[in-house]
Amino acid sequence: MSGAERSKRAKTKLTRSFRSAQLSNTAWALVTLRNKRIMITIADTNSPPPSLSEFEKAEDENIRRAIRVVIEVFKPTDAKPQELSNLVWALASSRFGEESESDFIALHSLMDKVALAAMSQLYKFQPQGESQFNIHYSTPKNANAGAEINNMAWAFARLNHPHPPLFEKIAEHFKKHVNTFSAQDISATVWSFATLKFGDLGMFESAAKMVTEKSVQNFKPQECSNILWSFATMNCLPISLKILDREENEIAAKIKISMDILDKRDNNNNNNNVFVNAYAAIANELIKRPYAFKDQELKDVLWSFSKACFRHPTMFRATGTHLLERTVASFSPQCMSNMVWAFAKVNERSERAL
Amino acid sequence: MATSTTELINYFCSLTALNLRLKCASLRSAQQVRIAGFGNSNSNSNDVELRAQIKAGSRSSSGKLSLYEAAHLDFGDILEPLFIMWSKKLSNENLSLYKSQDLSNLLWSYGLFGILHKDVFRKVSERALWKTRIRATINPFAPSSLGAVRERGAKAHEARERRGEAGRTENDRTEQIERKLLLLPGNHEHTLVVQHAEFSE
Repeated sequence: MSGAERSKRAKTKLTRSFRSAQLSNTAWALVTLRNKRIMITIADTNSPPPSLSEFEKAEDENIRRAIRVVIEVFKPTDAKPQELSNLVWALASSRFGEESESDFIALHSLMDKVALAAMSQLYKFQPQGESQFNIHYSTPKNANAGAEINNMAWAFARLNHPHPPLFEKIAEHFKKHVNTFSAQDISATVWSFATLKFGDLGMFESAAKMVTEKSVQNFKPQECSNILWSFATMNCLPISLKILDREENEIAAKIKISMDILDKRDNNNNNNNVFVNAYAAIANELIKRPYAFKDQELKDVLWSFSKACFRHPTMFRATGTHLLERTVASFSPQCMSNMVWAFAKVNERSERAL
Repeated sequence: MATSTTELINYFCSLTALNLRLKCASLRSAQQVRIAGFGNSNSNSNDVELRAQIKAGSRSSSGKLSLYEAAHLDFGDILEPLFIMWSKKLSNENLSLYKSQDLSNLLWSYGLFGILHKDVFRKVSERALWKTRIRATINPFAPSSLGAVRERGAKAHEARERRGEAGRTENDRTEQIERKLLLLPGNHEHTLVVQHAEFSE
């Protein structure tokens, strides 16, 4: 046996000796360390990323090689929920597979296997954070409950890897146990569904129910903006507001007949109003603490309102006043364009409302 | 090129805000250089139709005035300072960082409120023209973009062969698009429905 073969055998033996938990933890740790290095390097998020030093390039290459081995050896069927979610989180965060086609294929092939494994044990998954909505349900306290359902959904969305059967299961699970989800879990999960354009109105309604004026006080701005962005992207609106989104002549013909029926339907179906309540609650939060919202978060909230045809003059006035005090020099092109668009669009809707 | 940049910019600046909106949206389409370009005119076709109705006397207003009323009722007092602030930023901005859609959205918004800020429009016009001239935002390193260009070239060649026409080049097409832009109905006579403000800094 040649030296190269012996070395390859030894390497295989070594990697096979790793258990699933060890493999996923290794990937998780490497990617976390790399992300922390990037966060330290890019203190100012608006400046362009600095070029990598030789050492950093070598480090990144080594991480890629390690992840390549993990992908090769990892057996999703033997893994626990926590291990699955840690691994997919690491894979999605590492931008692995963007530079090489073979890596890309290996990654997505593993993601399919992970999805199948996750589906069979989804009931074991636990939400990531402590829920503040824990009124009716008690979250089982599990010291090792790091298996995060939102990480799973987030990773699939981040890698743009739609897996409808898995997402159907996650939606079912979400609807049943939404009370055990934290704000972070809710926002990440709905964001993932909206990013992959996987529509399940019931799931979005469940999420909207959790966004009340009281609960939203504990939401971070990013969670608020992500939730609204998801609702707007998936066109989650009460039916009576959708009528304003139609062609003018269509409205003229139908508005008289429809409004009465829709108003009645809205009164009978509270689900239509949960979105209105969620939008209103987040708008109040934005009015209260606009300084807490970053540029992109502000833009997302305003964009969502305009996209969803919600008029909220008070919020737009408050945000506009805040913007005048804020420096807009840091706004990115997209942020700038979407914000100006949002102010204009909401007034186009105003015209129709009048 | 038959029309110089300055002439085109002057033309732009002399238009009403609503017309600017139409032109700039068309420019965006032109930038994408598909034969079905001007696709964005679909949304603007309503405006054109409305203007025709007004001209024929079958309609008294396009309803745009109500938009300004609504805007000024809602947050009219902050609208002007906001647009001044955004305009200052845009005037000093490197527009090459902006995607076509960003530029189009910005101009659409300015147009919707009837705000003509000459500096902004001049800068955006220059950028839009530049994009029109190169006909596509080709990333020289993106094989897919280059592939698309090659494919378009091949199709154009095929079409030329079929029709037996002598050399209809991309340059000809650009000129045609620009000529078409200039030939779009100006509708200066309907400026009454558009109130446009010109901010002085």
